[in-house]
Amino acid sequence: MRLTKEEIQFIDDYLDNSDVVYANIRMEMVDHVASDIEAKIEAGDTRDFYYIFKDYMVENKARLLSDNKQFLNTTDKKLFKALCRELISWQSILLFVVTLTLLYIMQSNFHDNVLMPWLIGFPLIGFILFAIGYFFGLKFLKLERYSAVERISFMFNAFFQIFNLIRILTKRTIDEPHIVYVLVIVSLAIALLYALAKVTITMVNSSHSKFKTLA
Amino acid sequence: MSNSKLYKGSLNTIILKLLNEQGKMYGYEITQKVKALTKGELNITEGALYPALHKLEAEGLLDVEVAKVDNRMRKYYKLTESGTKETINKLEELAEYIKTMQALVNPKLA
Repeated sequence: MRLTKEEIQFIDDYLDNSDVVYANIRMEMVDHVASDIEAKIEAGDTRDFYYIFKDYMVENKARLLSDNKQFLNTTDKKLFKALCRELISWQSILLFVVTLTLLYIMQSNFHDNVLMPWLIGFPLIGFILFAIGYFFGLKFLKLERYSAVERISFMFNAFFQIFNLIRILTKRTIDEPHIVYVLVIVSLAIALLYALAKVTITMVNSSHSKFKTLA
Repeated sequence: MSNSKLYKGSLNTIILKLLNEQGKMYGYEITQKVKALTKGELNITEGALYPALHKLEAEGLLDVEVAKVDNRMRKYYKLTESGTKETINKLEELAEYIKTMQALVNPKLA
């Protein structure tokens, strides 16, 4: 006996309300729970679906939720590796060199007071743009939440915080940070943003082709 | 997994071996297949199986296919090319381990 659409939806909602918020992780858990309940019914359990489900959750909920946490760790590692690979690609290195050269030429034509606030604020601008784009996607386009796509926002955040930290630390040692040092940091930030954007697009396309087209 | 500690180190090899034989499988199917093959002796829990599957996928040893089955989405796992090579290595390692353990525990049979 196969579970009905409503019963599958019930399992999905239950897991969603239990903090298994990412569609790609929940999908696999829903299938596992549903398969187990169907096997019990086929083996002769005549109780109502909800009683079998309740017993299953009493026995297995903690294990399912721990699987959720471990999956997120694996996702983070996968993203970090992809990001490192992208960052050392020839495109990112070329972008770094070109940006550094252009900024160096620009700074020779502007006073430090004009260029410096824009340069220092750049990582924050990148993060805010990503946050607005993601919020818009979830709120107005009603996109499902996919772990790989969403976890990358943490990397954007970490990326901003690292540059912020460097800035705070260097302020203690030098009152006026050397312009070349700032230019290198900003060029690196632009190359990192490029790598992050490319990894995000790859992840979005992968999630979309694997899950969305089958929905 | 029940009787977990002794089996834990071999979980990846078990998964790779099954996928090598069956072509593609989904999570629940793997747990049931292992249970059936071992006559209920080895019971892989979802808390052990899925992290192992996701790790193997992240390492590029497994590929994933998603299909709509019985009102829900089902994620199938299958070996990649490097996964097939790794299966051979892992099985050789396991055979070597069993031989060594047998020599230690029961020298007459080794």
